[in-house]
Amino acid sequence: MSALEFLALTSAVAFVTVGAAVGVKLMLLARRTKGLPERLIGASLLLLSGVAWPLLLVASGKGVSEPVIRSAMGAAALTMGVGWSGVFLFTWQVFRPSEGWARALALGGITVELAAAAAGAFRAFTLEDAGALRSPSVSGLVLLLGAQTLYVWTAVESFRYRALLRRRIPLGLADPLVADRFGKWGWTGLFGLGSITPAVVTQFTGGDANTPAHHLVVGVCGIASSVVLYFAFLPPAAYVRFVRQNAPIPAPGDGF
Amino acid sequence: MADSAAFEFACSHLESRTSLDRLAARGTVRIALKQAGLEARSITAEQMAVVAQKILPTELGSRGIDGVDELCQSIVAGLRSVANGPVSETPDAVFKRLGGA
Repeated sequence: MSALEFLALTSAVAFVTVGAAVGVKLMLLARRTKGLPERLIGASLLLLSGVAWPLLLVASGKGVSEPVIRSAMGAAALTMGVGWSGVFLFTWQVFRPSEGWARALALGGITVELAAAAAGAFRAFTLEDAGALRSPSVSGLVLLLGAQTLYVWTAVESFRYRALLRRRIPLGLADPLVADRFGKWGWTGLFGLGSITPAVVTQFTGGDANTPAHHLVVGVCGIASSVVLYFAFLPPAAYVRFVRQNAPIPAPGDGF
Repeated sequence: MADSAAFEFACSHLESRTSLDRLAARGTVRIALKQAGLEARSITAEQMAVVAQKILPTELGSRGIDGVDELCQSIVAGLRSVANGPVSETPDAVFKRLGGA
């Protein structure tokens, strides 16, 4: 295994571990609060990082039998489609629940993701040559383009809201840690976008997915994505102190 | 989406107590809100009170309005009786909760 392949594998393990841990944490939170946003994002993270990625790793392993490859690829496609649909719902419901264009974007995105996922699962079980499952397909390309749209939307909304909260902090109207969480979630979106971009390029060009450049991009973005996700939702006490200590101090004389 | 009751109250108050017309009053408050990172459709009475104390005086002063401090204090006092009304959960409330243990 080359150093770059090791980097890509390390990033996959980091993403699976952190994503699943954050997913479990948010699902437990949702059980207590009954809140829809934590249920949506917790389940989505759990599906994407705790189920879909491990399935893809299994399917790409050497010496794996054909039925296992077909089952893993089919289940991964379905899981990714459902997981990304959940993030579409989350972004719409949290940031723009009453705006028509956001509803259209979210419902359109969910329709595309679920249709592409179903087509991908159908392909996994019906394609004659199981070895060709890793080759580019229309369903795979559509699934990934939908996810890229989602990551861009999520990042834009999160960075916009972080900018709003940063202006509120000196007035004592926002928590610096919450503003930081929006920023970290935005970066999670951007690094997520980066980590699937090599796969999109491969789908478009039909080229080799195992190039050093692809491994480098996937590895760096995957690790960065895991780090920001960790600091966003499982921040250590020292990091919480650091964020709060470095925030502007609210001026006195506020409110009624 | 309609603007919040707190925003409407502050604008009406300015319009009735100063030489600013409706458009100028709303524009002045919107500029103050933008500086504070707040939005007219979702601002609460408590948030509007902070803006009236910390940002609005400067904005009104730069427009040649007299008695700015008294004016802003009267806005703050009036906001106490403004009900926030039903508002959907804000993104910051959701993200604050997501950080909970």
